[in-house]
Amino acid sequence: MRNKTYLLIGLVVLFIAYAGWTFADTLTPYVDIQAAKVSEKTVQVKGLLDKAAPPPVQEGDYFVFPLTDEQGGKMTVRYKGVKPDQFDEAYHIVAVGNFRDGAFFADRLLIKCPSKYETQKGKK
Amino acid sequence: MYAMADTAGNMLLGAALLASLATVLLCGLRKRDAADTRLPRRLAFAATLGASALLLWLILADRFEFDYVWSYSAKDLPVVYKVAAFWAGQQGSFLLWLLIHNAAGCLPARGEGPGRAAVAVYAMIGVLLAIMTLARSPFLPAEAIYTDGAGLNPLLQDPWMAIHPPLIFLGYALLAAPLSCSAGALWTEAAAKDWLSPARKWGLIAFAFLGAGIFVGGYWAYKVLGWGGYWGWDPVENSSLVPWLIAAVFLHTVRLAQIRGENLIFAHLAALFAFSFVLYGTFLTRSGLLGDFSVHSFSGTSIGLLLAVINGLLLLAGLLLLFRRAGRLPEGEFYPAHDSREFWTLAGMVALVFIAAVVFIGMSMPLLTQLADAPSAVDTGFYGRTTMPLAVFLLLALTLATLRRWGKNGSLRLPAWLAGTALLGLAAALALGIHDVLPLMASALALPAAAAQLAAWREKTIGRGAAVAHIGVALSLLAMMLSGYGGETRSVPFTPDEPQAVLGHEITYKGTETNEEQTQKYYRFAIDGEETRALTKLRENGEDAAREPAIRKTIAGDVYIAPSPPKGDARPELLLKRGKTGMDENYAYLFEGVEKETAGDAERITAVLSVTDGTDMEEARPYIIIRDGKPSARPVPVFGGKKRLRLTGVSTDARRVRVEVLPSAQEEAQLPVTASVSTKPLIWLLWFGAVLTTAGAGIAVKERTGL
Repeated sequence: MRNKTYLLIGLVVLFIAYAGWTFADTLTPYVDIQAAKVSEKTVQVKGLLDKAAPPPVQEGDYFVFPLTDEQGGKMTVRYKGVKPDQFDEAYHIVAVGNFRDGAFFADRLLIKCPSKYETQKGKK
Repeated sequence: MYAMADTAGNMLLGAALLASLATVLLCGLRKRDAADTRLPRRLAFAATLGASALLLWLILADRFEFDYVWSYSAKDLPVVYKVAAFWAGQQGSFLLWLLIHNAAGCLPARGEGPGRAAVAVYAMIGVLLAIMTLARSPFLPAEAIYTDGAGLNPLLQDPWMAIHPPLIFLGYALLAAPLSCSAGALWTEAAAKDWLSPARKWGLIAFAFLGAGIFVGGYWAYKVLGWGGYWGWDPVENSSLVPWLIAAVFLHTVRLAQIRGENLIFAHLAALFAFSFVLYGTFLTRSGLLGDFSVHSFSGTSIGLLLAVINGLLLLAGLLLLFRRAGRLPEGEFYPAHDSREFWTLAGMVALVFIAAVVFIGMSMPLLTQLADAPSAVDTGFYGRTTMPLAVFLLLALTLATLRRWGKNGSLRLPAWLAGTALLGLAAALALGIHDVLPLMASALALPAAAAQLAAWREKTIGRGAAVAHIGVALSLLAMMLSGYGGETRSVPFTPDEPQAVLGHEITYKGTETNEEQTQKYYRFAIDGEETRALTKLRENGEDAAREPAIRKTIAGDVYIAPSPPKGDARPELLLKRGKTGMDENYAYLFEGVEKETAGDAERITAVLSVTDGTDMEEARPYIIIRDGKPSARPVPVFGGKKRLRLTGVSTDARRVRVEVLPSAQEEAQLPVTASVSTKPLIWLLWFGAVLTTAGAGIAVKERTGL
């Protein structure tokens, strides 16, 4: 009977080790564009649409747009998918992905709009 | 009369606070029955009801001098969304929470009602909720004088908005009841079990409502774009999932404690943590700390800190009380044998606690790493990878627990068809091309878990409600595997009226269609011959406000099309200087001047242009209307609608204007479009399972209360 209890404890320990490893593997730090370009990990980058660069286009499976951040960094983001909702009204964009072959390949985009739940007062 | 409303509203909230405080004091001072506090409890409810009625009235009467009304309502909003505006913002949702809390607080405590200490704890939570509502009152006057409101976000103007938030808040609020029963019992007579029955009843009701709220939210997120499908592991979603999981743990440990008192400690812990996670989740999502990590983008608020302090104190007090009284709780083996229902139920609860812990850690990472000044978040892949093995184990434990009896009474005879159902699930998964081990295992284990419920039900070893809820959980998990791992997505460019074969379906894009009021645009698709439309709600200026996919539902699953708005090249913009002529490939435009007029509360700015195509000349008058500081501009047709002009900007000295040149409405409706096409195999099974889970909890409430 005790053996089964040990087996269960062993399973729990095994799972915690696995969860810890997965955790370290999927933890994505928040960095600026400059740091994203040299990082090999998956990272999150906050920025906004670079209005000075060519406008966003859909290239096959990828939605491609230029991103710039407060530090003045610039890069091209290739997001696997189509243009997300409320993209045009975003006051900033968070891209999650990694930089390779001269572009930031994003798996996920978070579009931050002033009006989603709370209105931004005094705007417009 | 309205001028008094802010004072009246805050006074009513204050009265609710004092009445709850009086309940606490009465429970503490007098050595008498909990029924003696009926009056202050009713007063607290009456005052909250009054405050709520006042806020609703202010919204319905368009009193935009109140900040909350201005922020979430507008004159021309349909009544159902005006009512929904009540809980569209944080201040209103706290008031709703307080209302539910105080309403449940004065329900008659029939027979086995909670004791004096439990009533005191519940009233104390009412005090804290009233403080939170008052800390950022919904009755604050607006910063300026407005004649119209900012309006409810178009994304929220959805019938589901009328029921999703109240369901969630019903769940949140009612989870205070099990906690109160638990703390009350610990305070007075720790070894007693009579708190379990009312706590279980309230726990079931809270679990049913919170679950229904989560499921409705998931379905809503599925049928609109921008929220990442039915479940996106978003912090706001996670913060409602964790209390729901712990509520499920609570319900099971209560049953265990009723059978073996040794498990009382688990029931107390689950009751405490379920409500603590409600407060923690509210803090996390309302504090604005997650602003950069969540698609639900709540903005930062001042009461985040207050919530954190209240949450911390509550958890600390609860744990301290439990620690002090732990010695008086029954001690001994938690289960009689490994081959018992007790053991496998506990094993399943361990899995549920681990799922909750994993989600909790993941959703807390932005907060923890922010404190360490190195903000990070876990990728959503973290949740899938860690919860998958737990889900497999959970299904296994569910099957084994169901097929056993309580105590040392052995197990049911294993029905032969159980193995058959496993093969059925496995075959379905393999047919959909799933080849990952864990999803395959979960697919194989889901149907036996559901079938075991039927077997146990036939043997009368499980309640009807529990059996139905468990079948719902198993079918939901199966549907998550099949639709999540068996579905495919393609990004496809469509030209109108050219059929394409995509993922085994014939899809033809048939252009767009806009309704007469210019408020809704439809992307028309024919999927396997059946017309299915994707709705885009439009703003007053014709821009997209909120988009919905085109969904073709079949028994095999859904075909889900998310069109991307055609834009950019089709809409060039011209910058025109006064007295000068600007050109594009079709016309020459002479900007003659700007006219401004004010009518009532609106200002209209019109640019006067002479447009010529070389032979004819026509005057065009694109305009911007500014109402309450909100500009809006609709396109005006030129040359019989061949092109449309929209004024998008005027310089302050009125010397330069920006004009957008739009193609004709017919032409625009026939532009090519890129769409993301996905298949969602057997997704309906998820909705069905979710309904069963909620219904099962409801049936269990009925079984408990004999209603």
